[in-house]
Amino acid sequence: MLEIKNLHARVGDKPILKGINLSVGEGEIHAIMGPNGSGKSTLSSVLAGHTDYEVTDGEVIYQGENLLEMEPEERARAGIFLSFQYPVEVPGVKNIYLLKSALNAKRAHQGLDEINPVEFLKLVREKLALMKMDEAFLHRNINEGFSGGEKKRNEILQMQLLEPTLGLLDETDSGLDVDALRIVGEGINHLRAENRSFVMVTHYQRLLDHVKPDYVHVLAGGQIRASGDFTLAQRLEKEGYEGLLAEA
Amino acid sequence: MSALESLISHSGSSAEQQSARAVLARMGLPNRRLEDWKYLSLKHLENEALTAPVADFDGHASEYDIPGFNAARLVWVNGIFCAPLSDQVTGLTWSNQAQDLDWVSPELDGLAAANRAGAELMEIQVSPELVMPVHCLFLSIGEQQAAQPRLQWRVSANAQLEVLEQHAGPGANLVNMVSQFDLAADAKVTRYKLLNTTQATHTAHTHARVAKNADFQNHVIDLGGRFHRDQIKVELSEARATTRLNGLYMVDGRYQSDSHTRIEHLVPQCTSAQHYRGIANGRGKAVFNGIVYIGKNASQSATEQKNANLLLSNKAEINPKPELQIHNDDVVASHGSTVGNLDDDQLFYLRQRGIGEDEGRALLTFAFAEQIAQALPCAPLAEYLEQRIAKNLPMDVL
Ligand SMILES: Nc1ncnc2c1ncn2[C@@H]1O[C@H](COP(=O)(O)OP(=O)(O)OP(=O)(O)O)[C@@H](O)[C@H]1O
Ligand SMILES: [Mg+2]
Repeated sequence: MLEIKNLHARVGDKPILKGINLSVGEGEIHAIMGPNGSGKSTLSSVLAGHTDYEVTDGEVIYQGENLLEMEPEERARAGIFLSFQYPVEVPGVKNIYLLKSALNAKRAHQGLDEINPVEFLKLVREKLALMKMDEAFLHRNINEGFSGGEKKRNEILQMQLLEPTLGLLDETDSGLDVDALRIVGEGINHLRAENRSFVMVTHYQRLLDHVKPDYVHVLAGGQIRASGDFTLAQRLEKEGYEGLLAEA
Repeated sequence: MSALESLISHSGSSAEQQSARAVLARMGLPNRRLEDWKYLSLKHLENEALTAPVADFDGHASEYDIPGFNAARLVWVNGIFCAPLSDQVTGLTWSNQAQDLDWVSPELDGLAAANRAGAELMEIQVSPELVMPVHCLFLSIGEQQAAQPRLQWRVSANAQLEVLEQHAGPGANLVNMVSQFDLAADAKVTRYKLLNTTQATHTAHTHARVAKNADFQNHVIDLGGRFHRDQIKVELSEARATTRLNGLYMVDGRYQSDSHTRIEHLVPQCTSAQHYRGIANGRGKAVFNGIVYIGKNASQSATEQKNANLLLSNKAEINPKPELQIHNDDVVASHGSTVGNLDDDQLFYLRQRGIGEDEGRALLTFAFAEQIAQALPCAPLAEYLEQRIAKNLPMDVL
């Protein structure tokens, strides 16, 4: 599904990603852990096509296509969804407008007609219930004045609706209380499917208790320094990055 | 003949009008040498002779109604009040015999002088019996006429006035207006001024005086035109008087918009708030100049001023100048002004959800203006405005 080879990226003159190699197969869940500032969000942003980052070397193949040549919206329509570490507030644009436009953009890409309003509302209500969110959120401006946890739930709500092929979840668990963590975890599990993959950036094992990854990677200094299964996360919890990376 | 010479020749015969005429002859029309006229000028009027206005309109005033805004309609054509086209409504009486408040001094600038010299004053009295909104429609028809309405609102104690002042019509005239609002204690005025003329040169002076516990709200919406200048001064003259001045100006092509506001806190315990937003595209030019003056005696004043501008083209121009003049220590004041482009992170967020770049830009531009539309305390007007803002954009975002 996703093949990252020797990916280098910088912001301004500052190199951040220094040769990332990662292969994500269909239906797999990969967790990426790593110290602050190691480049985890940069990796997600580069995959989503953020223009602040310049790719200086390497390639990314997504479903057989050269991902790096696609515009951000084309990537989104092709099934890539980024749950932002810091979801952006967009005053003046209603949440429901975003949900509808996003869904219709995707449908147009698939050659489908716009969703009819009744069906849309039914679908959204279903997803709201799943995320235990109040309908009032639909009529608020995107993320404006949302609490930290509400923003994260709103990201997963959008993901539920858009049903991506590849979900990039950047610290979706940070700032969540225990109940919200469970809801978000269930939200992700709900979407697990044979043809759907996830790359989850997280600092804590607690999310991984809800959503069990197939692989765990440690990103440090712009490179993947260690990879393993679920037990790697447990080792990290005990030894910390310093200990673990010293051994590696 | 120039516009100035025409305006001088249109003066009325009363002593006050003749003296205003002398001021006009001495000062001439404002030019860019004046601090307040630094950025935008009336140069295009230099070689434009103006004729006296004619109230010639054979259409239907209802064409200009705002859907859902049910109001008593008063109609002016080229500055001349047209009683046959206007509604009678309980709580509202008008007269052309009143004594002028003369709050907008002819010495202020040539336009104030021209209006005083040439206009016929209409006084409108508002009593607490008025329950219906009022729609003042100012039509501009024809070309090169000098329309000079002059209005004086007397809003009596406890009365409430909700008034839409709409400027519309295809005319390429000069519309040079003066409005005075006299709010007695506990009165409330909500005024919406909608500038919807693209060809007219529109200049206006508004002066409001707000008495004890009274509230004056002004929302100016400039949808863009050849030359629009709106200058307003609000005096908070008794305790607990409040005012809010909001504005939205949108210029594209070679349109020009010039907003000047001045709020004066003259006594303790008054509150003012202001929020103006502007969008400039093409070769459009806009100016926002907002002064809040807090006098020596005006302790326990609170004032907040916000101005945000969106510059969408590198040939467009916006000149914001927020100014606080505070002469008392016991004051809560904030102000801020920004000029910027669309926010890259917001645009990326929308694109990450599959929304195309052009639509995303249109959406964010809409959202920027929408904050002023949302703040209109009148749903039909807010909706009308949203549709108009959306229409000016390359995409359907509603
Ligand atoms: N737009 C930017 N401008 C300047 N520096 C940036 C920018 N984006 C990222 N960086 C820098 O790149 C480095 C990697 O940042 P990144 O956000 O990818 O880290 P991270 O691994 O996600 O960290 P955290 O765990 O704290 O979220 C940091 O040193 C950061 O300051
Ligand atoms: Mg990060």
